[in-house]
Amino acid sequence: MADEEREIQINPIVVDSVAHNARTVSNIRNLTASLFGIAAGTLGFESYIGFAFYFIGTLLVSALIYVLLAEGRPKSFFYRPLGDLWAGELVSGLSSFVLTWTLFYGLVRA
Amino acid sequence: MPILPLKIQSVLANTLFLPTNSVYSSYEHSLTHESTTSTPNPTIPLDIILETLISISILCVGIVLGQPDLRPIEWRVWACEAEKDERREKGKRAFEAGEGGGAVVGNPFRFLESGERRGFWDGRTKRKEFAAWVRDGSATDVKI
Repeated sequence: MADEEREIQINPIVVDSVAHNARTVSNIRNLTASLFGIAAGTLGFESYIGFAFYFIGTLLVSALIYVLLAEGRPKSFFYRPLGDLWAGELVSGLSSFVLTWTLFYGLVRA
Repeated sequence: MPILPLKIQSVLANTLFLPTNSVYSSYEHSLTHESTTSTPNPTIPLDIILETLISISILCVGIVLGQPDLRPIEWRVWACEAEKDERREKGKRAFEAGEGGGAVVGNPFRFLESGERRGFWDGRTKRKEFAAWVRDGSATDVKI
């Protein structure tokens, strides 16, 4: 902890930029989670396969962010790349995924 | 990444047709196969699966590209870019796009450089001015 504090004092971080990047990732997660829900419902996935589809899709979207937005340097855009980029907003996206998943499953199969 | 957001918007709008089509295809397929087979999960043809997956991936790329650029969180990198950004014209700056009020944008130490520091009394300049005034004043006094 002391090392971390010293590191922050030597290389200070900009809180506004951190918030902006988190908001961007959150936007992307919300939009793509609904899209994945549409796809999962259309393809008729059930139970674990649907959740696996969501996690694989989210992983691919994280890779897209890593390559296209972060330009391969996640350290300079995210304070904790593992938590903020790869696992950021994973659970809040899951709820909108389940919403559109069940909606489109019901629309297509009912 | 110099890609026009307008272009991305039009690509996204065109691509939205594909998932709509695939959802409707899947719906029609489930309707037509409902009467013949009683299985709860009829297999979906490959073309619907491919159309769904390809359209979703195109839309994902479009969504990611359509977002504003990430900002560097390290202060030294960010301050350098913010100061460069201030020299650009208004409307072309990267850091003001889509920004609400209250955010610190630009050089945070600008108030030190503009010469209008609040609550700061520049003693040295005042002393020089006073000395000059005394010299001039005494010179005029001698003349009189």
